[in-house]
Amino acid sequence: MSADETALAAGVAVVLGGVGLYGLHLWRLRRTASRTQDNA
Amino acid sequence: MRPRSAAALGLAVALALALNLTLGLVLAPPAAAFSAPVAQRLFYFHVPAAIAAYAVFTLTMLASAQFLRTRADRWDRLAASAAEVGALLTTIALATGILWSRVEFFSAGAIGTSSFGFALLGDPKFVTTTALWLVFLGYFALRRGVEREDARARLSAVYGILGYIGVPLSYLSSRFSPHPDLLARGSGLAPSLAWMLFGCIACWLVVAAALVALRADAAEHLAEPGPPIHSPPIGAEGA
Repeated sequence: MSADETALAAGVAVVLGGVGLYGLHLWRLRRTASRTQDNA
Repeated sequence: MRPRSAAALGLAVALALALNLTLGLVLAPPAAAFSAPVAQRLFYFHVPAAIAAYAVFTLTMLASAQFLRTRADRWDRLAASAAEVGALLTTIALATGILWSRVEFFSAGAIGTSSFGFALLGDPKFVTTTALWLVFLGYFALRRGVEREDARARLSAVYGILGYIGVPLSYLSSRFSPHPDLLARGSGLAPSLAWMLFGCIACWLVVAAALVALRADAAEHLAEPGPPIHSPPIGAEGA
């Protein structure tokens, strides 16, 4: 794999990883919120 | 927000990203003029993520101003949610820009490994965008540092408005630097590439809007059991 291709692969990984991890964070927040409301 | 609406927003994010990947990695023509033509495809993620970050920081500023006007806590939650998504998008724009420029300049032999960091620091676009990123990381530090909810909302609204100065600085800095300003008139961007770029920008605006809506909704649900953040009017405490 050339440096050119590695840079593209790393960039796409940053994009998908960043949005994916943030999506996971949002999913956990929503789950926490619904549990809090169920307990209240 | 109903779980079904949240799932629909999540699906919209996935579809917009899939369309962006298709446009940038499959449909965009190869850029033979670049010394790193494969990494040049990062252009279709780097520029749209930056534009979407500017858009959500604008939303932070507007929601902050609206909070100061109305003191309704939903505006504070919207401002904080938009700032969080903006920080994520700025991180993506900075990371893809660094990866692309590093390999582009290396391939061209323009700069060596040891001087790459110095070359970045010489680019006003990089410096102002990193400053914008740090300003909004400071926004979260401020929110964590102030315990009283009404003071936190007021201070972060003022900070969100003042910090917005970083957006025009970052956007306009390409006029004063070697950084290409591809959205300016006469930039030389071929019409087919311009349409491809505008398609990617639309995808990222959808991603940003859906993430802000999901984040603000989660914040609203988390805040519901607690007391309202308004201070009682002066003199009303003893009433």
